[in-house]
Amino acid sequence: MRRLSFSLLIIFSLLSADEGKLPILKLKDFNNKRVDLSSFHVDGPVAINAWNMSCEPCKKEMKYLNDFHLKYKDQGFKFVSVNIDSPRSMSKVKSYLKSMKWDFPVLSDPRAEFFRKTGGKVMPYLLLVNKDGSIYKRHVGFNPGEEVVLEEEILEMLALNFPKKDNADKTTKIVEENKIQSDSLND
Amino acid sequence: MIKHIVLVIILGSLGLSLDTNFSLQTKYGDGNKVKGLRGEKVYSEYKFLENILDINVIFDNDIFVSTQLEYSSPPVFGESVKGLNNFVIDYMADQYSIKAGNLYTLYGRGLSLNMTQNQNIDFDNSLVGIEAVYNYNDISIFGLIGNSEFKYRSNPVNEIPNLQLNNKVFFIGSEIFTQNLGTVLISYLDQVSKMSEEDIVEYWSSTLFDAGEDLFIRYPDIEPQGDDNLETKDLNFGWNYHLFGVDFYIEKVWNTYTRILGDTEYGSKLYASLYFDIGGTGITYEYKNYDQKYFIPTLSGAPIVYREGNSTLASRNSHSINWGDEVGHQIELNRSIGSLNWLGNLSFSHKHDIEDKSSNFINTTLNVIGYDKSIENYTLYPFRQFFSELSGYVLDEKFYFKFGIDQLDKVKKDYGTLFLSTSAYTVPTMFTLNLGSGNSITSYIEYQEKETDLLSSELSSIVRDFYIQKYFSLTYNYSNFISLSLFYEDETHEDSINKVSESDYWRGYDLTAELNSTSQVSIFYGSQKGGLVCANGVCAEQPGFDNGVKITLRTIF
Repeated sequence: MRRLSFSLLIIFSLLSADEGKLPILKLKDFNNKRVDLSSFHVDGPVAINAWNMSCEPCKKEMKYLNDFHLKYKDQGFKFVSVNIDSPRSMSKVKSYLKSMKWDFPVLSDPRAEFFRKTGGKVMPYLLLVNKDGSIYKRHVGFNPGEEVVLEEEILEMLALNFPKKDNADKTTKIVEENKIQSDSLND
Repeated sequence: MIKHIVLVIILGSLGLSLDTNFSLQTKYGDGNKVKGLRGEKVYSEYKFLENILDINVIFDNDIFVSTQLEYSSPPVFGESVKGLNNFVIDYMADQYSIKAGNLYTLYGRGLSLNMTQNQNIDFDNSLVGIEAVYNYNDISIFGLIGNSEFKYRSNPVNEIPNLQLNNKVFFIGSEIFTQNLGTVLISYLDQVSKMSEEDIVEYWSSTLFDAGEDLFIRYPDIEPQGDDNLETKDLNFGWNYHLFGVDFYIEKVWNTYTRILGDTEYGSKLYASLYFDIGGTGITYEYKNYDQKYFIPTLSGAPIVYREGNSTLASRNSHSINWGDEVGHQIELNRSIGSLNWLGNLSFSHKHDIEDKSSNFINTTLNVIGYDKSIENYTLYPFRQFFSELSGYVLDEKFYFKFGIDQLDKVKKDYGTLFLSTSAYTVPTMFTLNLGSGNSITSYIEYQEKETDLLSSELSSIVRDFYIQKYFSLTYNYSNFISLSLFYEDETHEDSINKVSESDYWRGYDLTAELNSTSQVSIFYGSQKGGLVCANGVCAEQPGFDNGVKITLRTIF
């Protein structure tokens, strides 16, 4: 009976499963102000990651996400970072962020609610979220070079959320440019 | 319980919109377990199969149900579990939220409550109960009530927890935010923990715990008998304030607690941090003063105020915090230099000076920082660590590097009256070269010199050991799809008293495939050195792995 219930649970959930929606969450920023996570995707798609100070690949990935945040903010894209450092290291986060001079907003989630509620298990953990709060894509892990795929997906997401000819053309152009750049590096 | 979960999901989906996500982690291993080093190595069969499935269901965007199922027989580390590991229902409305089930929660910096789960060290101090939070503008009122069976180890070397406290907890508090005063936290905790006679005897016969030594002093001739209820009452005050770029945090707990089969004690915990920036250099200072001798922490997890390194070699020497009796400081500097980032860290700590409470604070501090080799300093069990690291991107952002220097010195109690002094100098480095098209090479190279000295109570050397350890790993990541890694580590050991020199090495290969953006499978073949793994001051000794295969699958769907 237990096996049957378990199998039913898996099958049922698989049938109903898609990438899912961003859960309702209110987190604090580093000035202790409570912010509703959904307020970030009201105007356009967002990328939201979970990271902590001991996650080196997260820091590498955030450097590129900051570049994309600056590059595509005029088109309605934002990157929001959720720091999940526990009391062990949370006092050092502010100093680190300031030294990195990043431009994106950072929220503090020492209980790791965002990470757990969205199914995170290992970091780097990144969600691409549409304007309506639905999750467009998830990424776990980061290796240098993956920023090319990330940028393509951000552009696809922008085209999907703002279906104008301009965005579609831009997406195609940047994807082609990235391809040429990669090919020339390989040569 | 699983039937109920299925029912909840099916019923819920009939009238409510439903989102589900699954996270599965499977670990399989077949090899040999190694304990001890060199001539004292003990091999035994090491097979493990660990499956952890997390199922998160969101109903109508405001009810969240999380279930963790585990089938481990046995797991990588710890006890076998077959069935439900934890379950929680969380309802969130605009102004309030209610949670029921396994509670993982944190208030302030965790001086009273910090409940977490860490499967790497087989640690879980969650409560099963109900937690409610009510928010009105910038005022929060919260409370929880629950029970737990907290399992822990008398020695980090133990693979299976051998001690247990059954806790009953009531907690209530409030947090208020105002523009002028910052954030103020006030809370109260009442906890009763039942300790069995068997565990009391384990404490009595062990020299590893201050609480055990205290018990032995009070019961020197006869084994203590009967169970005991340990009572704890915490009054917690926290304050966080920002002004002109300066960020200040202070949290203090005044507590009363009972010693094992003993009287009520009065203790306190104090944590403070200060962050400011001078000329582009971020400065963070942290201070801890945990003074609650013989207290057994179960639900708290205060800041450790030292650096738990993420270097393979340096992390094996991590300091073990004494939650009941420790004063410590940490200063961390952060500065960007062009495209690079520099980090400097100094942390040090010691026990309270009971012999002379009025002794000069500055002298004690200078003795610890200078690692003064006097009996007065060693009886305070000093710890100090310097760390400096430069990291960043160069060569048109194609090359990322990290170069660090770590010096650690510590003294801990050994065999009751002896001192074990450890000094380790580590150089951890990491390099990543981005080759384009999703191809990259990453390498970790680390070098460590370590000296351990077992000293008598008069500080004469009994056994002195000297180690040189080298760690190397090279990973080639092809097209963001396949990664191939080579790991190599060697250790040379010299016993300066017996004039013995030996060496050992560990070698392994790993192949990892990214099946899609959220699924990864890796196969490891070879040997890995075991060692201490610590998280938030809790440590466990992972056994070595010899000549075997490990397979890990991680996926979110």
